[in-house]
Amino acid sequence: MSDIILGIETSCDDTAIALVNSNGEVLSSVVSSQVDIHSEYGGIYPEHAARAHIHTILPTIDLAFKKAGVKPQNIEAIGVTRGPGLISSLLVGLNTAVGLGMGWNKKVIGINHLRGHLRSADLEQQRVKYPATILLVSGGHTFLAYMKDINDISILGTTRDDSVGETYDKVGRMLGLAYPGGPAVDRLAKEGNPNIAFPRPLLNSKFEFSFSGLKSAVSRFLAANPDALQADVAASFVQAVMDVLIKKSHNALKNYRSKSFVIVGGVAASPQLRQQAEKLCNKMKVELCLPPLKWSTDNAAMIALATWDYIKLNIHKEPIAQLQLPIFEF
Amino acid sequence: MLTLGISTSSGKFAIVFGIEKKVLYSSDNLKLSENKDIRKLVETGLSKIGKTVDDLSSIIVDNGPGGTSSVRTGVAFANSLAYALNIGVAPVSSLELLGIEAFDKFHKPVICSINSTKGNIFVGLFDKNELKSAKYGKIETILPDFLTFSDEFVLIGHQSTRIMELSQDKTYTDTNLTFANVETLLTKSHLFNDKIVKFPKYIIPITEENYQ
Repeated sequence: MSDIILGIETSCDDTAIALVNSNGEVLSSVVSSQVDIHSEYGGIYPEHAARAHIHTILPTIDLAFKKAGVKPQNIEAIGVTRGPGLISSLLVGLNTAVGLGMGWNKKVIGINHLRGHLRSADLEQQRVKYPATILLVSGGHTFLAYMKDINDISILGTTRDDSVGETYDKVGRMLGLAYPGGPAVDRLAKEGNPNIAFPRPLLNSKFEFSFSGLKSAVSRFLAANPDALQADVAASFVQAVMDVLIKKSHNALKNYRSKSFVIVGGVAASPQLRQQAEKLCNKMKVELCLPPLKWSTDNAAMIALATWDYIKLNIHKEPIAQLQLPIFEF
Repeated sequence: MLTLGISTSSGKFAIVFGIEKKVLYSSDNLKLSENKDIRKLVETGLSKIGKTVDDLSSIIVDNGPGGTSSVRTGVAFANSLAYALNIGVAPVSSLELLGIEAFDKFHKPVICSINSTKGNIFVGLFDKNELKSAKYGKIETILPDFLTFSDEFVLIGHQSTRIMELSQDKTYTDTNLTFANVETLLTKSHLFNDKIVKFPKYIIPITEENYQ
């Protein structure tokens, strides 16, 4: 048995390819970003995302092999994201994987993207101590999960509407900031005062999230107060988001004994979230586990690492697109 | 010298295997195959002809226009299989395929049409083994230019009836076909030989951005 997996991730707007061994060592990870393509729309344009994937996927695969110094004959299998995600983007990765698998005579396994995110914290080194509470905050997903171990996952709560990353991007667009809005909103927030009373949606629900009301509240406020200081709007919005995320995380840590609190997804890059999560973990005497930012956003190394779990458990999932896929499903 | 042809633009996935213009196996899209699993189609075909994927020496793929996701599926598979096997892959426009099929039967200029989104149409003018022109837009806008080419046309594709309604002073032969036989990829493969590319070149689907 060989010790290398080729990971392919095209669930959204990044074409990501990686080669990872069974210890989580990343031999290469190449991400072809589409930020420039989508920035003029202020969000992901699905058809353009799929078109860009088909332009970039083979050169990115070729580059990943060259960077790793690995020959295709030396890989054990191909792990490819089968969902959840944008169907048109998923199809490019899946059909590319199927063609490669047939040509190289390698097994192709369809991987749950969310399982990739959960495993991303253990890339390059074992960071997570189980049992662990996981907060996934990205452009596509927002949820709290509890992991007794790698294979025993329960969802505690998820968003009823928008994800936190999408809300960040929409508020960024309302404030006239460049796409992606998350980092720009966080930067602007640092210059303002959180003096606007935006709602904290579902604050009293234990683990469930909702962000569409907050997004609408910011929109209504800006329409009624066109001269408001943008930095104050950003600071107030970010504070509202943080209050919600930290309160729910606190609920989870209080109710589920955890050795680690792990934050993954693009919003894990938020300095405000990192700072407040650190305070929470100190208070709860739990180890805060923040993977390097390159593993927090969509990448293929996490898909390759998750593929090893499937192989070790002898689980084979066909490389067929699934728009919706629950976290507990392999 | 085994060649694989793939056509997915009509939404009915089809493949054909052959050696030099001789068809060895065809999944026959004219029988309305609803199979959307290319891998299974290819594996079935190879098994029927007693060959393996390593016997392949080239791939010809219909790169649209047509169903955007369907075309991308076929093209992504063709590109990656060709890359993995280090063989060449040739693109053939679905308009050209329609044109070849209609011209072969009637030996007259062909107007081929494929529906797109928002009422727009891909329209091609084909004559004597060549796609003379390909346009994208409203049929009413495109048609007058094409009609100056001849007084007599063969029609193939989604808009044949509409074309006959719009310009009744021409003579038409309607094929009553909306998509081409996948076997055309093999039987006319000599027409596509000069289009074969190998990685780092690869095939891009035809869309409203690059239809010409």
